[in-house]
Amino acid sequence: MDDDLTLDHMIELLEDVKGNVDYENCTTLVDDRVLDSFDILSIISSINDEFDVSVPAKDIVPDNFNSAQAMLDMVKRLVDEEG
Amino acid sequence: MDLLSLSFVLFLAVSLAAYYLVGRFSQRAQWVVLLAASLAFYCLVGRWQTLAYMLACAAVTWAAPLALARMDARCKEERAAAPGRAARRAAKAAWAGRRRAVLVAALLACFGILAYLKYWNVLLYEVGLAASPASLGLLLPLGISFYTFQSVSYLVDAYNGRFEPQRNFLKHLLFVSWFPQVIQGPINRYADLGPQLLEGHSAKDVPVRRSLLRFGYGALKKYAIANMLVGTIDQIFSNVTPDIPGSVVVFGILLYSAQQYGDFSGGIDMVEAASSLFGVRMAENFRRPYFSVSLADFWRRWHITLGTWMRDYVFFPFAVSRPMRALGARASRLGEHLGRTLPACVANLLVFLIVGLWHGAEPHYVAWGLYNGLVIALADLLAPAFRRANEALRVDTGSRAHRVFCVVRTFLVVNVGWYFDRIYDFGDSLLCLRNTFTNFAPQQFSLWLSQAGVHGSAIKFMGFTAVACLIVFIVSLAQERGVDVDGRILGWNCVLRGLFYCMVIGLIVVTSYITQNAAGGFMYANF
Repeated sequence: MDDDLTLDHMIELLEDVKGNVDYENCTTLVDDRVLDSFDILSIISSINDEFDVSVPAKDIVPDNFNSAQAMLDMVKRLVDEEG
Repeated sequence: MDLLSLSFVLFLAVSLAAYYLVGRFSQRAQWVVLLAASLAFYCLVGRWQTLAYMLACAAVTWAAPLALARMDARCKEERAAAPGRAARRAAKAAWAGRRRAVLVAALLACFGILAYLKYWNVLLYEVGLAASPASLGLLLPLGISFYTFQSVSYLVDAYNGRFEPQRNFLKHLLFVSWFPQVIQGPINRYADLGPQLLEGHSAKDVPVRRSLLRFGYGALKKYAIANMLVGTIDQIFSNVTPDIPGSVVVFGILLYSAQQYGDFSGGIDMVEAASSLFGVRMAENFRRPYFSVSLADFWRRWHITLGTWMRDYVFFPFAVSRPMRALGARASRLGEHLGRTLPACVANLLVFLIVGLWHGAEPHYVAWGLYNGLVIALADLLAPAFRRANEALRVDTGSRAHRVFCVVRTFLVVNVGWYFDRIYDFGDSLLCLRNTFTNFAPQQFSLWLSQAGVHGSAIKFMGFTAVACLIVFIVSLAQERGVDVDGRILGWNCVLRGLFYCMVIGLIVVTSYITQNAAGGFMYANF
């Protein structure tokens, strides 16, 4: 599982949900409205499928979705908490 | 107390003087002036008898997070003393259950007061158990929906551990009662507003000229647009008959789209400006909604703080709940897109049902809410089909022409929604919608308007409104293109600036004089 938790894997997942976004550099995905509520739900669904971890509603805050790295950090934390 | 009145100017001047005078001695004590001003404003503008409801809401949302924090501390102690992992888990689960019970009890108390005062009488009337929607004589507190939703956001955020709860009740009361927000929002968040209210400010740091410019812009929208149109709209829709021409309906709805925007966003501009004079920036509530490219986009630009409240406290929690995830998993068997979007669509319908009810318990509000939810849900479900159609027709979706098309289309879709919002009888809404398509009858337009009591003088005075609308359109278009309009105006030479100010102030004064007998106040103050 931990081997899958890489930034490349997260970016791949994000590109499947919404393409044509600079996930490597953008750190304001939510603040600049690059991602909307529907995109975030799709990302949560993909995270659930790919990493087998549920994102609770209390973690759905802009800080956790503003960049690929922030999403990866959140997933790592949730995996640790569930373990 | 009208926002454009001598009494409000005096109230603001006295409050500002006291605020910055106290600030000279102690910035840490400045918040006390804000609290005193807020409570005084509430008693002067609302009914002092209803202050108890706001105090009750503040007390509940102050005490519950403190209880939750104590429970957290007890939970940690018990877990630290637990002999093994199973015991630690059991302690955590037990305290989680107690915490949830406290949260639910506090939510029930807040929403219970709101439901009783706002909906109970209407509900009894709708089922024939009350003579009228106001026959019980319940006093609806000023801004009850706004301060209830704001307080609940504080409660839920504290429950989720987003910040340390406020220990001082009076400081919490200031967050709930901050006077610029109680009339019609915005619905602020504690993490953004709380620290600003308490930290104290110096007059030299306040952008006075920008604030006054924004206050004037808001007054222009409110007095030269909204107040000028409200009478004509009332005359058109107060007695809808089966033969009402569609041309008159469309005219009334278009006026309503301008009136509603002028009233709500104009009022928000004025209160945002008033708040910023104290150095307190509230959340933005509008971002040029009539330039939206879809209905979903419109709701990200119109009443933004209600939209984000619904997103954070209804949409996400419901959409990621276990039943919705199960629904998504089942739907994905029929297609990946359906599996991903169906939970969001269902959550969206729930959100807009609540948005409709937030405006009122009457059936036409529910219909309006569901209409918005359904259009957004269908747009999302059918997105792949639209994409394929665009590809087949070789539509350049990145072109300016396509953007203009999307803006016009969204404006029309929003206006169909206004039928259900403004025409207070659901049956009349449907009748007007039908006549729009089947009985447009432009030749009856003038005759029908004069029979409804809309006389030539009202139409002539609309010239002032047209000028104001043109100003708002030009300003909005420039802002859409990223122009700092306020900065540009403040940078003009004094002659040009003087002429511009004279024109705007002249428009506001003339239209205030024309509409001096029109209903005062703000539409959203009733919510």
